[in-house]
Amino acid sequence: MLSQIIESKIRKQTNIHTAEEQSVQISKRIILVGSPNTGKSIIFNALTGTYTSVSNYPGTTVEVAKGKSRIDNETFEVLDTPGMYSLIPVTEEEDVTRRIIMETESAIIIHVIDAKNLDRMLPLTLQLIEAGLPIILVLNMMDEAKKRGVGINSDILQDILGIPVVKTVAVTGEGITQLRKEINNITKNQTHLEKKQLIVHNPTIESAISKITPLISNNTISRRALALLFLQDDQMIKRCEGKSLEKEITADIRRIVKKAQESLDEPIRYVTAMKNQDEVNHIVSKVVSEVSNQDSTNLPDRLSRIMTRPLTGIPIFLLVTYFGLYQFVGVFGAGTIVDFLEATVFEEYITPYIISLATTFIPWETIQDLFVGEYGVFTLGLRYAIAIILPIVGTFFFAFAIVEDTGYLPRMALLIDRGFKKIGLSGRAVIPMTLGFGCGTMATMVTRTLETKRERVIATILLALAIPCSAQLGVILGILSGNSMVTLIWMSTVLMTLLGVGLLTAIIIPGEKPSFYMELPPLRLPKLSNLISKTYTRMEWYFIEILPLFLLASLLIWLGQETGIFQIIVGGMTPLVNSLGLPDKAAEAFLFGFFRRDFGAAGLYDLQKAGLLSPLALVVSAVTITLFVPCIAQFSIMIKERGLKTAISIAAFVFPFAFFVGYMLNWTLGGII
Amino acid sequence: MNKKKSQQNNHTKITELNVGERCKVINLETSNETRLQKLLSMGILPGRHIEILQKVPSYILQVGQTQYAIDKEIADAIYIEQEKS
Repeated sequence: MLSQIIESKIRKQTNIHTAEEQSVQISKRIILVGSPNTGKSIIFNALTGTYTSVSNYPGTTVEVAKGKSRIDNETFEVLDTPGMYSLIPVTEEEDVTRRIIMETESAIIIHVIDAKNLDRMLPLTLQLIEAGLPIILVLNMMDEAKKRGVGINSDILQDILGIPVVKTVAVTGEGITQLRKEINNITKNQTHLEKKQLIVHNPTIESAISKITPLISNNTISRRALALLFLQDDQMIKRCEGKSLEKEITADIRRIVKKAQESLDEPIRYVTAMKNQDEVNHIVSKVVSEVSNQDSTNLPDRLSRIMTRPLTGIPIFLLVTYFGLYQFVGVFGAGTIVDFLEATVFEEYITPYIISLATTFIPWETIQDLFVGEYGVFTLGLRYAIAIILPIVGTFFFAFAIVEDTGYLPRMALLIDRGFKKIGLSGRAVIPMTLGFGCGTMATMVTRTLETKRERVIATILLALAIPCSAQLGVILGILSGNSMVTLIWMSTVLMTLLGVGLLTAIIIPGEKPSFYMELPPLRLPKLSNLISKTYTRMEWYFIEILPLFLLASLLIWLGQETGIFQIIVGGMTPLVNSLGLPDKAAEAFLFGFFRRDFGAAGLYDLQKAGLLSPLALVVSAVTITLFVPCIAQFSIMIKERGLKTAISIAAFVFPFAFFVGYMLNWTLGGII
Repeated sequence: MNKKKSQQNNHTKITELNVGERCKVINLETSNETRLQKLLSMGILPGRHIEILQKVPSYILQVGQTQYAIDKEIADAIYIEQEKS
C-alpha cells in the first residue's frame, strides 16, 4: 500500500519527462489487473523497464502507473492498475480499475493471479472473459505453488477458458519471454483459441440479461457483461444514467433488475458469485493435479501463530516497537547518526565554509541572515532536512521495510484491531499511526489507505494532536530524560488524551463503523537488496517532497522576524503561556513549533538548559508542545488530503485543546510537584 | 437453494466454532451489501472449506491456501456446517 504510493510518486518525479518525451506511435494498450499480493507490479516492471510515469485517476487519489513496452517492433502503453478482487468493487481502487477497463478501448488485459490460489482468483478471470475482452492469464508465483504441492495443467486450462495461459515466476523473470510472445500473438491475431461462453446463469438472471441487452449498445465490454454488472451493482446504472444511456432506458433497466431480484431469495450478486465459483471449482478439479495438505508445523507457520496470539504476540509487538522504533530509529537514527552529521559534518566542515562564502559575497546583513542566520535557509532549512530529518526518516523507512517485507505488518494490525475499534479506527490504521512516530506528514498522507472517510478523518485528528513525530520525540525525551517521574506524567497525559479524544471522535463523527479484513501473506525472510532499494526510493521521494517545505519554513521565520510580525504574535501569546505557569520565552518555542515541530521542542530544550523550567513547568510545556500544532508541512498535507475545511476545523480544535490540557495539568499538579 | 431450506441451515455461525475446527460454508448473511461483497472478494462462499486458526483478538481463517484476518462483525455473517477435523 504504502510502497505503491511512494514508489509511484518517485516514478512520477524522476521519470515523467522520459516517458513523455518518447513520441513513438502507440498502437495498442495493455492493462494489468489482479488482486493485491500477486506480483502484478513486478510483471509491470519487467515489461516496461524504466520508462514509467504515474498520475492520479481523474477526481480520485488513486494512482495508476503507466509505462511503455516494445514487443516485436510495436510499442505498447502498459497500465498497472490498483488491486482488484472482483468487477463489483468494494474499494475506490477497485472502482478505478473497473473504470479503466471499461474506458480503455482496444486494450489487451493481462490478468495476473497467484497460482497457488487458482480457485480464489479464477472468478475474476471468468468475469473478464464474459466481458469479451482479449485476455492473457498469467499464473504467477508458480514456484510457491509447486512448493505447496499445487500442480496446474495450463494446457487444459487454456483449452477450457479459450484464452492464452502463461506460467511465470516474476521475481526471477521466468516466463516473461513467453508472456511477451503471447502479447505479440494476440495483437497479430495469431491466437487460435475459440471464444467461449463459459457460464450459464440461473434462468431468472439469464432472462433478465436477455431483456437488458437489446436496450444497450456494444461497449468496450460485451453487452452481456454490462447487463450482468447492471444486475449486480446499481452504481453501474447510476454511472450510465443520462450519459451513455437515456434516463428512460435506465429506468427500464432498473425495473427489469427489480423484478429479477424479487423472484430470487438472495441478492443477485450473491447468486452470480456462487455460480461463478461453482464453474471455477469445476475447472479447478480438471486442471489442478493434487493439493498436498499444507504442513502446518513448518517454521513460518509456527512463528506466525506466536506472532498473532495475544499472549505471545503482544510482547513481540512491544519488543518490535522498542527495538525497531525506539532503539533503531530513536537512539541510533535520531541520536548517533544525527549527532555525527550535525556536530561533525555540518558544524565543523560545511557550515563554516558556507558562512564564510555568504559573508564574503553578500554585503547586506539582512540577506546574509536569510541564508546563514540563526534560522537561515541554509543553516536551518537545508541543514535540518539533511542532518536531522533524513537520518530519522531513513532509519524509520528501513525498519518499516523490514516489517512490511517479512509480512509482519498485517499480523500487527490484527492484534491491535480490537483496541483501535474503540477509538474509531480499524487495525489497518496501525500503518499510519506507527508511521506518525516517524513523520506525521507522511503518516497523514498514508491515511488515504484507510477504508472509510470517517476513519481517515479520525486518524488525521489523532496524528495532528497526540502522536509526536520522531524529531520532536527525540528532543522531548532528551529534555525529560533527567526525570523519570516527569517522563511518566508526560507519557500518561499524552496517552490519555489520545484515547480520550479517540473515544469522543468515534462517538461524535457520524458514519459507518470501521471493519477489518486483511490477507495474511506467508512470513518471508526479506531480501537485503529489496530493503535497501525500497528505503532509498522512499527517502528520495520524501526528500524531494519535503525539502521545499523546510526551505519555506526558514523563509517564513526570516520574514516574520524581519518584519516584526513574530514579536507581535509572541507578545500576544505571552499571557497565554504565563497562564500555564511557563516563562515568557516559551511563547517563542510554541510559535516556532508550528514551522517545525522539533524547533518548538528544541526551544524548550534551550530553556531547560538555562534552568528556566521547574519540573512542573517542564512537564506542562512538554505535554502542551506535544499536543499543540502539527508542523506546517503536516498541515499542508492535511489540507491536500482532507480538504481545506476539515483541515482548518481540526486545527481550530487542536490549538486551544493543547493549551487547555496544559492548563489543566498545571492546575492539577500545582503544589504536588 | 430455496428460502426455507437455507434458513434451517442458518443456525450455526462460524463464530460459534472453536480454534482448530473445520467447517463448510453453507450460507452468508446478505443484509449488509458491503460486508457481503467483502466476503465474496475473499472467496468466502457457500461450499468453501474453512479452518479456524484463531479467534482472539481477531479471527484468522484458513481459506484454501490463504489466511485472512477478519473482525467478529464480518465473521458473524458466515453460516457454516461443522466438519470432522
